[in-house]
Amino acid sequence: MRRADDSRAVERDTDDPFTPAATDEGSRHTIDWEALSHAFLPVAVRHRAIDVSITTDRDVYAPGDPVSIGIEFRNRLPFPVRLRTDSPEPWTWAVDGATAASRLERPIPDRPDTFSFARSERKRFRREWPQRIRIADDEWTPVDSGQYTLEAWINREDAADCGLVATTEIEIRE
Amino acid sequence: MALLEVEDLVVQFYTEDGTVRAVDGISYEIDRGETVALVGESGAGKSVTCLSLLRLLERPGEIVSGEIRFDGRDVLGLSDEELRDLRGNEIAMVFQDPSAALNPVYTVGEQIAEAIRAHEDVTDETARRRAIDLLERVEIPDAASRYSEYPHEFSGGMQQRVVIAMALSCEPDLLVCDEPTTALDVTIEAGILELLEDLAAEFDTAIQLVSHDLGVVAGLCDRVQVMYAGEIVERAPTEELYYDPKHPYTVGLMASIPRIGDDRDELPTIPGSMPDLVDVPTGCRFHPRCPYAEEACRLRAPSLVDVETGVPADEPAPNDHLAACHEYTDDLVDGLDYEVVVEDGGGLE
Repeated sequence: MRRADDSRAVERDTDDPFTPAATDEGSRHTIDWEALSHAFLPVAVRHRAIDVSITTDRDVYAPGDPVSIGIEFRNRLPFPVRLRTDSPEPWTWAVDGATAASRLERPIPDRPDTFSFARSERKRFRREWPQRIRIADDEWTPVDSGQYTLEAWINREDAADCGLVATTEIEIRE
Repeated sequence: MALLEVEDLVVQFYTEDGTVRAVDGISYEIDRGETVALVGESGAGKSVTCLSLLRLLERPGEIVSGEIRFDGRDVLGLSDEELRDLRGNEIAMVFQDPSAALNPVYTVGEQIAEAIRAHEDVTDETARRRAIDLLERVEIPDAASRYSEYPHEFSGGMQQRVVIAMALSCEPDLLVCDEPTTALDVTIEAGILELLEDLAAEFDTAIQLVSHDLGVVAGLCDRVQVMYAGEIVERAPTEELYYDPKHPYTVGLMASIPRIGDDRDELPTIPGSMPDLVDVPTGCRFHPRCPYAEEACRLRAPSLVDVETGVPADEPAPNDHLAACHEYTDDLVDGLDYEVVVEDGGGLE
Protein backbone atom coordinates (compact mmCIF):
# COMPACT_ATOMS: atom_id res chain seq x y z
CA MET A 1 0.00 0.00 0.00
CA ARG A 2 1.16 3.53 -0.74
CA ARG A 3 2.17 5.50 2.29
CA ALA A 4 1.38 9.20 2.49
CA ASP A 5 4.87 10.01 3.77
CA ASP A 6 6.50 8.13 0.88
CA SER A 7 4.69 10.07 -1.79
CA ARG A 8 7.45 12.59 -2.66
CA ALA A 9 4.47 14.73 -3.53
CA VAL A 10 6.56 17.73 -4.47
CA GLU A 11 8.43 15.83 -7.19
CA ARG A 12 7.34 15.44 -10.78
CA ASP A 13 6.99 11.84 -11.85
CA THR A 14 5.18 11.06 -15.08
CA ASP A 15 4.94 7.38 -14.13
CA ASP A 16 3.03 8.17 -11.00
CA PRO A 17 -0.43 9.61 -11.65
CA PHE A 18 -0.90 10.51 -7.99
CA THR A 19 2.03 12.89 -7.89
CA PRO A 20 0.96 16.46 -8.64
CA ALA A 21 2.86 18.37 -11.31
CA ALA A 22 5.27 20.89 -9.84
CA THR A 23 4.62 23.33 -12.67
CA ASP A 24 2.02 23.64 -15.35
CA GLU A 25 3.57 22.80 -18.73
CA GLY A 26 1.66 25.63 -20.42
CA SER A 27 2.83 28.25 -17.95
CA ARG A 28 6.38 27.95 -19.23
CA HIS A 29 5.46 30.03 -22.25
CA THR A 30 3.45 32.76 -20.52
CA ILE A 31 4.97 36.09 -19.60
CA ASP A 32 4.75 37.58 -16.13
CA TRP A 33 3.79 41.05 -17.33
CA GLU A 34 3.82 42.49 -13.86
CA ALA A 35 7.42 41.45 -13.24
CA LEU A 36 8.46 42.55 -16.74
CA SER A 37 6.82 45.94 -16.33
CA HIS A 38 8.40 46.33 -12.88
CA ALA A 39 11.83 45.51 -14.31
CA PHE A 40 11.69 47.95 -17.21
CA LEU A 41 9.53 50.82 -15.94
CA PRO A 42 11.61 53.66 -14.44
CA VAL A 43 10.78 54.36 -10.80
CA ALA A 44 9.70 57.94 -11.49
CA VAL A 45 7.24 56.76 -14.14
CA ARG A 46 5.79 54.19 -11.74
CA HIS A 47 5.06 56.93 -9.21
CA ARG A 48 3.49 59.19 -11.79
CA ALA A 49 1.38 56.33 -13.09
CA ILE A 50 -0.73 56.10 -9.94
CA ASP A 51 -3.39 58.71 -9.39
CA VAL A 52 -4.72 59.04 -5.84
CA SER A 53 -8.04 60.72 -5.14
CA ILE A 54 -10.26 61.19 -2.09
CA THR A 55 -13.89 62.28 -2.17
CA THR A 56 -16.79 62.66 0.25
CA ASP A 57 -20.51 62.37 -0.39
CA ARG A 58 -21.11 66.00 0.72
CA ASP A 59 -19.10 69.14 1.44
CA VAL A 60 -21.00 70.20 4.55
CA TYR A 61 -22.17 67.95 7.37
CA ALA A 62 -24.30 68.49 10.44
CA PRO A 63 -22.56 67.56 13.72
CA GLY A 64 -22.70 63.81 14.27
CA ASP A 65 -23.54 62.93 10.65
CA PRO A 66 -21.24 60.18 9.42
CA VAL A 67 -18.86 61.28 6.68
CA SER A 68 -18.71 58.78 3.83
CA ILE A 69 -15.23 58.83 2.32
CA GLY A 70 -14.27 57.32 -1.04
CA ILE A 71 -10.60 56.66 -1.82
CA GLU A 72 -9.51 55.70 -5.31
CA PHE A 73 -6.15 54.62 -6.69
CA ARG A 74 -5.95 54.48 -10.49
CA ASN A 75 -3.21 53.15 -12.70
CA ARG A 76 -3.03 55.56 -15.64
CA LEU A 77 -0.83 53.25 -17.69
CA PRO A 78 -1.96 50.38 -19.94
CA PHE A 79 0.50 48.02 -18.27
CA PRO A 80 0.92 46.70 -14.72
CA VAL A 81 2.60 48.82 -12.04
CA ARG A 82 3.97 47.72 -8.70
CA LEU A 83 4.92 50.21 -5.99
CA ARG A 84 7.04 49.58 -2.94
CA THR A 85 5.37 50.51 0.36
CA ASP A 86 6.94 51.04 3.78
CA SER A 87 4.52 48.68 5.53
CA PRO A 88 2.15 45.80 4.68
CA GLU A 89 -0.71 48.31 4.95
CA PRO A 90 -0.57 49.75 1.42
CA TRP A 91 -2.40 53.02 2.05
CA THR A 92 -3.79 55.10 4.88
CA TRP A 93 -6.21 57.95 5.42
CA ALA A 94 -6.27 60.67 8.02
CA VAL A 95 -8.41 63.49 9.27
CA ASP A 96 -6.50 66.63 10.26
CA GLY A 97 -3.36 64.54 10.71
CA ALA A 98 -5.03 61.84 12.85
CA THR A 99 -4.29 58.61 10.99
CA ALA A 100 -7.49 56.58 10.57
CA ALA A 101 -9.10 59.14 12.90
CA SER A 102 -6.89 58.09 15.79
CA ARG A 103 -4.29 59.98 17.85
CA LEU A 104 -2.78 56.66 18.95
CA GLU A 105 0.19 54.97 17.36
CA ARG A 106 -1.05 52.17 15.12
CA PRO A 107 0.47 48.70 15.53
CA ILE A 108 1.46 48.21 11.91
CA PRO A 109 4.83 46.51 11.37
CA ASP A 110 7.62 48.51 9.82
CA ARG A 111 8.54 46.20 6.96
CA PRO A 112 8.43 46.89 3.23
CA ASP A 113 5.75 45.42 1.01
CA THR A 114 4.21 46.20 -2.38
CA PHE A 115 0.99 47.66 -3.79
CA SER A 116 0.26 46.19 -7.23
CA PHE A 117 -1.99 47.40 -10.01
CA ALA A 118 -3.05 45.60 -13.17
CA ARG A 119 -3.06 47.63 -16.39
CA SER A 120 -5.41 50.63 -16.10
CA GLU A 121 -6.77 49.22 -12.85
CA ARG A 122 -8.84 51.29 -10.43
CA LYS A 123 -8.99 50.28 -6.77
CA ARG A 124 -11.79 51.88 -4.79
CA PHE A 125 -12.16 51.77 -1.02
CA ARG A 126 -14.67 53.29 1.39
CA ARG A 127 -14.43 54.51 4.95
CA GLU A 128 -17.02 56.05 7.23
CA TRP A 129 -15.92 58.69 9.69
CA PRO A 130 -18.46 59.17 12.50
CA GLN A 131 -16.94 62.59 13.41
CA ARG A 132 -15.11 61.08 16.35
CA ILE A 133 -11.36 60.89 17.05
CA ARG A 134 -9.77 58.13 19.08
CA ILE A 135 -7.80 59.64 21.95
CA ALA A 136 -7.09 56.56 24.09
CA ASP A 137 -7.26 52.80 23.77
CA ASP A 138 -10.85 52.80 24.92
CA GLU A 139 -11.94 56.40 24.37
CA TRP A 140 -13.10 58.58 21.47
CA THR A 141 -14.10 62.22 21.44
CA PRO A 142 -16.54 63.99 19.09
CA VAL A 143 -15.01 66.76 16.99
CA ASP A 144 -16.21 70.37 17.06
CA SER A 145 -17.74 72.27 14.18
CA GLY A 146 -15.28 73.64 11.63
CA GLN A 147 -13.20 72.79 8.59
CA TYR A 148 -11.48 69.40 8.41
CA THR A 149 -8.92 68.12 5.95
CA LEU A 150 -9.22 64.52 4.87
CA GLU A 151 -6.15 62.95 3.36
CA ALA A 152 -5.26 59.61 1.75
CA TRP A 153 -1.82 58.45 0.71
CA ILE A 154 0.17 55.42 -0.29
CA ASN A 155 2.32 54.31 2.64
CA ARG A 156 5.72 55.61 1.62
CA GLU A 157 7.89 58.14 3.33
CA ASP A 158 8.22 60.04 0.04
CA ALA A 159 4.51 59.82 -0.84
CA ALA A 160 4.08 63.60 -0.92
CA ASP A 161 7.17 64.11 -3.14
CA CYS A 162 5.96 61.37 -5.51
CA GLY A 163 2.45 62.76 -5.82
CA LEU A 164 0.92 59.76 -4.09
CA VAL A 165 -1.23 61.86 -1.75
CA ALA A 166 -4.72 63.34 -2.15
CA THR A 167 -6.65 65.70 0.11
CA THR A 168 -10.12 67.15 0.36
CA GLU A 169 -11.89 69.43 2.81
CA ILE A 170 -15.23 69.21 4.53
CA GLU A 171 -17.07 71.48 6.90
CA ILE A 172 -19.02 70.49 9.96
CA ARG A 173 -21.65 73.15 10.60
CA GLU A 174 -24.62 73.44 12.98
CA MET B 1 -1.73 26.38 35.96
CA ALA B 2 -4.28 26.00 33.16
CA LEU B 3 -3.55 23.70 30.22
CA LEU B 4 -3.97 26.52 27.70
CA GLU B 5 -3.52 30.20 28.48
CA VAL B 6 -4.18 32.84 25.88
CA GLU B 7 -3.28 36.35 26.93
CA ASP B 8 -4.07 39.57 25.10
CA LEU B 9 -3.86 37.90 21.69
CA VAL B 10 -3.94 40.24 18.69
CA VAL B 11 -4.11 38.92 15.13
CA GLN B 12 -4.07 41.16 12.07
CA PHE B 13 -4.51 40.55 8.34
CA TYR B 14 -3.04 43.03 5.91
CA THR B 15 -5.27 43.47 2.87
CA GLU B 16 -5.50 46.09 0.13
CA ASP B 17 -8.66 47.36 1.82
CA GLY B 18 -6.77 47.96 5.05
CA THR B 19 -5.69 46.20 8.21
CA VAL B 20 -8.19 43.67 9.51
CA ARG B 21 -7.82 43.20 13.25
CA ALA B 22 -9.50 39.80 13.33
CA VAL B 23 -8.69 39.09 16.98
CA ASP B 24 -8.28 42.07 19.26
CA GLY B 25 -6.76 41.44 22.66
CA ILE B 26 -8.61 38.33 23.78
CA SER B 27 -7.58 36.39 26.90
CA TYR B 28 -8.86 33.06 28.16
CA GLU B 29 -7.73 29.77 29.60
CA ILE B 30 -8.76 26.13 29.36
CA ASP B 31 -8.11 23.57 32.10
CA ARG B 32 -7.37 19.89 31.55
CA GLY B 33 -10.45 17.88 30.58
CA GLU B 34 -12.57 21.02 30.26
CA THR B 35 -14.82 21.79 27.28
CA VAL B 36 -14.98 25.47 26.39
CA ALA B 37 -16.96 27.02 23.55
CA LEU B 38 -16.24 30.06 21.43
CA VAL B 39 -19.50 31.26 19.89
CA GLY B 40 -20.43 34.15 17.66
CA GLU B 41 -21.48 35.08 14.15
CA SER B 42 -19.35 34.47 11.09
CA GLY B 43 -16.45 36.91 11.03
CA ALA B 44 -16.22 37.23 14.83
CA GLY B 45 -12.68 35.83 14.87
CA LYS B 46 -13.40 32.33 16.23
CA SER B 47 -11.61 30.33 13.55
CA VAL B 48 -8.67 32.75 13.46
CA THR B 49 -8.28 32.24 17.21
CA CYS B 50 -8.17 28.45 16.68
CA LEU B 51 -5.61 28.68 13.88
CA SER B 52 -3.47 30.97 16.02
CA LEU B 53 -3.22 28.34 18.77
CA LEU B 54 -1.35 26.05 16.37
CA ARG B 55 0.36 28.91 14.51
CA LEU B 56 -1.42 27.85 11.36
CA LEU B 57 -2.19 31.38 10.17
CA GLU B 58 -1.02 32.07 6.67
CA ARG B 59 -0.01 35.30 5.01
CA PRO B 60 -1.41 37.97 5.06
CA GLY B 61 -2.39 37.09 8.64
CA GLU B 62 -0.02 37.35 11.59
CA ILE B 63 -0.01 37.30 15.35
CA VAL B 64 0.94 40.86 16.27
CA SER B 65 1.12 40.54 20.03
CA GLY B 66 0.02 38.50 22.99
CA GLU B 67 0.97 35.18 24.47
CA ILE B 68 -0.18 31.61 23.99
CA ARG B 69 1.06 29.18 26.64
CA PHE B 70 0.35 25.49 26.42
CA ASP B 71 1.20 23.43 29.47
CA GLY B 72 3.48 26.28 30.53
CA ARG B 73 5.35 26.47 27.20
CA ASP B 74 5.34 29.60 25.05
CA VAL B 75 3.76 28.40 21.77
CA LEU B 76 4.79 31.56 19.91
CA GLY B 77 8.43 30.94 20.82
CA LEU B 78 8.60 27.29 19.70
CA SER B 79 10.97 26.26 16.91
CA ASP B 80 9.54 24.63 13.76
CA GLU B 81 10.54 21.21 15.04
CA GLU B 82 8.97 21.77 18.44
CA LEU B 83 5.86 23.08 16.73
CA ARG B 84 5.59 19.95 14.56
CA ASP B 85 5.82 17.89 17.70
CA LEU B 86 3.08 19.94 19.36
CA ARG B 87 0.68 19.78 16.42
CA GLY B 88 -1.31 16.58 16.36
CA ASN B 89 0.53 15.18 19.36
CA GLU B 90 -0.53 17.60 22.09
CA ILE B 91 -2.99 19.91 20.34
CA ALA B 92 -5.06 18.39 17.53
CA MET B 93 -7.59 20.09 15.32
CA VAL B 94 -10.87 18.99 13.77
CA PHE B 95 -11.73 21.20 10.83
CA GLN B 96 -15.12 22.27 9.58
CA ASP B 97 -15.19 20.43 6.26
CA PRO B 98 -14.00 16.81 6.55
CA SER B 99 -13.89 16.29 2.79
CA ALA B 100 -11.35 19.11 2.54
CA ALA B 101 -9.38 17.91 5.57
CA LEU B 102 -8.82 14.41 4.17
CA ASN B 103 -6.45 13.66 1.32
CA PRO B 104 -8.59 12.15 -1.46
CA VAL B 105 -5.81 9.96 -2.91
CA TYR B 106 -4.85 8.08 0.26
CA THR B 107 -6.94 5.58 2.16
CA VAL B 108 -8.48 6.81 5.40
CA GLY B 109 -6.62 4.20 7.43
CA GLU B 110 -3.29 5.23 5.94
CA GLN B 111 -3.97 8.85 6.84
CA ILE B 112 -4.61 7.95 10.48
CA ALA B 113 -1.59 5.62 10.58
CA GLU B 114 0.58 8.40 9.11
CA ALA B 115 -0.38 10.71 12.00
CA ILE B 116 0.65 7.99 14.47
CA ARG B 117 3.95 7.26 12.67
CA ALA B 118 4.76 10.98 12.50
CA HIS B 119 4.71 11.32 16.28
CA GLU B 120 5.61 7.91 17.64
CA ASP B 121 8.30 5.36 16.93
CA VAL B 122 6.05 2.46 16.01
CA THR B 123 6.15 -0.26 13.37
CA ASP B 124 3.85 -0.10 10.36
CA GLU B 125 1.84 -2.99 11.73
CA THR B 126 1.37 -1.32 15.11
CA ALA B 127 0.29 1.94 13.44
CA ARG B 128 -2.17 -0.01 11.31
CA ARG B 129 -3.62 -1.84 14.31
CA ARG B 130 -4.01 1.40 16.24
CA ALA B 131 -5.66 3.08 13.25
CA ILE B 132 -8.18 0.25 13.00
CA ASP B 133 -8.79 0.46 16.74
CA LEU B 134 -9.42 4.20 16.43
CA LEU B 135 -11.83 3.66 13.53
CA GLU B 136 -13.72 1.24 15.75
CA ARG B 137 -13.79 3.73 18.61
CA VAL B 138 -15.37 6.37 16.37
CA GLU B 139 -17.93 3.74 15.40
CA ILE B 140 -16.95 3.07 11.82
CA PRO B 141 -18.49 -0.35 11.14
CA ASP B 142 -16.23 -3.10 9.83
CA ALA B 143 -13.19 -0.94 10.55
CA ALA B 144 -10.56 -3.45 9.36
CA SER B 145 -11.91 -3.55 5.81
CA ARG B 146 -12.79 0.14 5.67
CA TYR B 147 -9.19 0.97 6.63
CA SER B 148 -8.32 0.54 2.96
CA GLU B 149 -11.13 2.67 1.55
CA TYR B 150 -10.76 6.19 0.21
CA PRO B 151 -12.52 9.28 1.63
CA HIS B 152 -14.99 9.46 -1.28
CA GLU B 153 -16.31 6.05 -0.23
CA PHE B 154 -17.42 7.51 3.13
CA SER B 155 -20.45 9.70 3.89
CA GLY B 156 -19.92 13.21 5.32
CA GLY B 157 -20.61 12.03 8.88
CA MET B 158 -18.22 9.11 8.54
CA GLN B 159 -15.54 11.36 7.06
CA GLN B 160 -15.84 13.64 10.10
CA ARG B 161 -15.51 10.56 12.35
CA VAL B 162 -12.30 9.69 10.50
CA VAL B 163 -11.00 13.23 11.04
CA ILE B 164 -11.83 12.94 14.74
CA ALA B 165 -10.07 9.54 14.87
CA MET B 166 -7.03 11.13 13.25
CA ALA B 167 -7.11 14.01 15.75
CA LEU B 168 -7.32 11.57 18.67
CA SER B 169 -4.66 9.24 17.28
CA CYS B 170 -1.92 10.58 19.55
CA GLU B 171 -4.22 11.19 22.50
CA PRO B 172 -3.80 14.98 22.51
CA ASP B 173 -4.34 17.04 25.64
CA LEU B 174 -6.37 19.61 23.72
CA LEU B 175 -8.73 19.10 20.80
CA VAL B 176 -9.60 22.24 18.85
CA CYS B 177 -12.88 21.67 16.99
CA ASP B 178 -13.67 24.40 14.47
CA GLU B 179 -17.38 23.99 13.73
CA PRO B 180 -17.07 20.21 13.47
CA THR B 181 -20.73 19.66 12.65
CA THR B 182 -21.51 22.60 10.37
CA ALA B 183 -21.22 20.52 7.20
CA LEU B 184 -23.39 17.72 8.58
CA ASP B 185 -27.14 17.21 8.90
CA VAL B 186 -28.72 17.36 12.36
CA THR B 187 -29.01 13.62 13.04
CA ILE B 188 -25.37 13.04 12.16
CA GLU B 189 -24.48 16.16 14.16
CA ALA B 190 -26.02 14.70 17.30
CA GLY B 191 -24.01 11.50 16.85
CA ILE B 192 -20.73 13.38 16.34
CA LEU B 193 -21.31 15.55 19.41
CA GLU B 194 -22.08 12.53 21.55
CA LEU B 195 -18.94 10.90 20.22
CA LEU B 196 -16.81 13.96 21.06
CA GLU B 197 -18.23 14.04 24.57
CA ASP B 198 -17.54 10.33 25.16
CA LEU B 199 -14.05 10.47 23.70
CA ALA B 200 -13.14 13.61 25.65
CA ALA B 201 -14.16 11.85 28.85
CA GLU B 202 -12.33 8.65 27.89
CA PHE B 203 -9.06 10.35 26.93
CA ASP B 204 -9.42 13.23 29.47
CA THR B 205 -8.98 15.60 26.55
CA ALA B 206 -9.84 19.30 26.83
CA ILE B 207 -11.93 20.63 23.95
CA GLN B 208 -12.12 24.11 22.50
CA LEU B 209 -15.31 24.04 20.46
CA VAL B 210 -16.03 26.76 17.93
CA SER B 211 -19.63 27.05 16.90
CA HIS B 212 -22.31 29.51 15.92
CA ASP B 213 -24.92 26.98 17.01
CA LEU B 214 -25.89 27.65 20.62
CA GLY B 215 -27.80 24.37 20.81
CA VAL B 216 -24.63 22.42 20.10
CA VAL B 217 -22.75 24.37 22.75
CA ALA B 218 -25.43 23.86 25.41
CA GLY B 219 -25.19 20.11 25.06
CA LEU B 220 -21.43 19.77 25.18
CA CYS B 221 -19.61 22.62 26.93
CA ASP B 222 -18.74 23.54 30.51
CA ARG B 223 -18.10 27.19 29.74
CA VAL B 224 -18.95 29.59 26.91
CA GLN B 225 -17.16 32.64 25.55
CA VAL B 226 -19.13 34.88 23.21
CA MET B 227 -17.07 36.66 20.56
CA TYR B 228 -18.10 39.74 18.62
CA ALA B 229 -15.96 41.61 16.09
CA GLY B 230 -12.70 40.12 17.35
CA GLU B 231 -13.37 40.59 21.06
CA ILE B 232 -14.80 38.44 23.84
CA VAL B 233 -17.94 40.24 24.99
CA GLU B 234 -19.18 37.72 27.54
CA ARG B 235 -17.91 34.59 29.27
CA ALA B 236 -19.66 32.40 31.80
CA PRO B 237 -20.40 28.81 32.75
CA THR B 238 -22.80 27.42 30.11
CA GLU B 239 -25.90 27.18 32.26
CA GLU B 240 -25.44 30.65 33.69
CA LEU B 241 -24.96 32.17 30.25
CA TYR B 242 -28.08 30.50 28.90
CA TYR B 243 -30.34 31.31 31.83
CA ASP B 244 -28.89 34.70 32.69
CA PRO B 245 -27.22 36.30 29.65
CA LYS B 246 -25.71 39.67 30.51
CA HIS B 247 -24.55 41.16 27.21
CA PRO B 248 -27.16 42.49 24.75
CA TYR B 249 -25.46 40.55 21.93
CA THR B 250 -25.79 37.27 23.85
CA VAL B 251 -29.42 38.12 24.58
CA GLY B 252 -29.98 38.68 20.83
CA LEU B 253 -28.33 35.35 20.01
CA MET B 254 -30.49 33.54 22.56
CA ALA B 255 -33.68 35.15 21.29
CA SER B 256 -32.93 34.03 17.75
CA ILE B 257 -32.82 30.31 18.64
CA PRO B 258 -35.86 28.52 17.18
CA ARG B 259 -37.81 26.40 19.69
CA ILE B 260 -40.19 23.50 19.29
CA GLY B 261 -43.74 24.68 19.90
CA ASP B 262 -42.83 28.31 19.24
CA ASP B 263 -45.92 30.09 17.90
CA ARG B 264 -44.14 33.26 16.75
CA ASP B 265 -44.51 34.02 13.03
CA GLU B 266 -40.94 35.32 12.78
CA LEU B 267 -37.82 34.68 14.79
CA PRO B 268 -36.35 37.84 16.29
CA THR B 269 -32.99 38.71 14.76
CA ILE B 270 -30.22 41.11 15.68
CA PRO B 271 -30.60 44.03 13.27
CA GLY B 272 -27.65 44.84 11.00
CA SER B 273 -24.59 42.71 10.53
CA MET B 274 -21.11 42.19 11.95
CA PRO B 275 -19.03 45.35 11.31
CA ASP B 276 -16.28 45.41 8.73
CA LEU B 277 -13.17 44.73 10.82
CA VAL B 278 -11.19 47.17 8.68
CA ASP B 279 -13.35 50.00 9.94
CA VAL B 280 -14.86 49.02 13.29
CA PRO B 281 -17.36 51.26 15.10
CA THR B 282 -16.02 53.59 17.79
CA GLY B 283 -16.66 52.77 21.44
CA CYS B 284 -18.51 49.51 21.97
CA ARG B 285 -18.33 47.61 18.68
CA PHE B 286 -21.87 46.31 19.16
CA HIS B 287 -23.43 49.77 19.66
CA PRO B 288 -24.77 50.25 16.07
CA ARG B 289 -26.87 47.08 16.53
CA CYS B 290 -27.65 47.40 20.21
CA PRO B 291 -31.21 48.47 21.14
CA TYR B 292 -29.94 49.90 24.44
CA ALA B 293 -27.00 51.93 23.06
CA GLU B 294 -26.44 55.38 24.56
CA GLU B 295 -23.87 58.14 24.03
CA ALA B 296 -21.38 56.44 26.37
CA CYS B 297 -21.43 53.35 24.13
CA ARG B 298 -20.33 55.43 21.13
CA LEU B 299 -17.46 57.15 22.97
CA ARG B 300 -16.00 54.49 25.26
CA ALA B 301 -15.11 50.84 24.74
CA PRO B 302 -16.39 48.78 27.67
CA SER B 303 -13.97 46.49 29.53
CA LEU B 304 -14.72 42.87 30.30
CA VAL B 305 -15.88 43.17 33.91
CA ASP B 306 -17.36 40.94 36.58
CA VAL B 307 -21.13 41.41 36.20
CA GLU B 308 -21.65 41.49 39.96
CA THR B 309 -18.92 43.89 41.02
CA GLY B 310 -18.25 45.83 37.79
CA VAL B 311 -14.53 45.39 38.40
CA PRO B 312 -12.28 44.39 35.49
CA ALA B 313 -11.07 40.87 36.12
CA ASP B 314 -7.31 40.65 35.56
CA GLU B 315 -7.12 36.98 36.46
CA PRO B 316 -10.70 35.74 36.43
CA ALA B 317 -11.63 32.37 37.89
CA PRO B 318 -12.99 29.92 35.27
CA ASN B 319 -16.54 30.20 36.60
CA ASP B 320 -16.67 33.99 36.85
CA HIS B 321 -19.38 35.64 34.80
CA LEU B 322 -17.86 38.52 32.82
CA ALA B 323 -19.42 40.86 30.28
CA ALA B 324 -18.18 43.85 28.29
CA CYS B 325 -21.08 46.27 28.64
CA HIS B 326 -21.29 49.71 30.27
CA GLU B 327 -24.34 48.50 32.21
CA TYR B 328 -22.08 46.77 34.72
CA THR B 329 -19.93 49.81 35.38
CA ASP B 330 -23.05 51.96 35.88
CA ASP B 331 -22.30 54.07 32.82
CA LEU B 332 -25.70 53.59 31.17
CA VAL B 333 -28.40 56.13 32.03
CA ASP B 334 -31.40 54.00 31.07
CA GLY B 335 -29.76 50.61 31.49
CA LEU B 336 -30.60 47.34 29.82
CA ASP B 337 -34.26 46.50 29.58
CA TYR B 338 -34.88 42.86 28.80
CA GLU B 339 -36.32 39.93 30.61
CA VAL B 340 -35.29 36.31 30.43
CA VAL B 341 -38.27 33.99 30.74
CA VAL B 342 -37.52 30.34 31.41
CA GLU B 343 -40.42 28.23 30.25
CA ASP B 344 -41.37 24.86 31.74
CA GLY B 345 -39.57 23.03 28.97
CA GLY B 346 -36.41 24.94 29.73
CA GLY B 347 -36.63 27.23 26.71
CA LEU B 348 -35.77 30.91 26.86
CA GLU B 349 -37.69 33.86 25.54
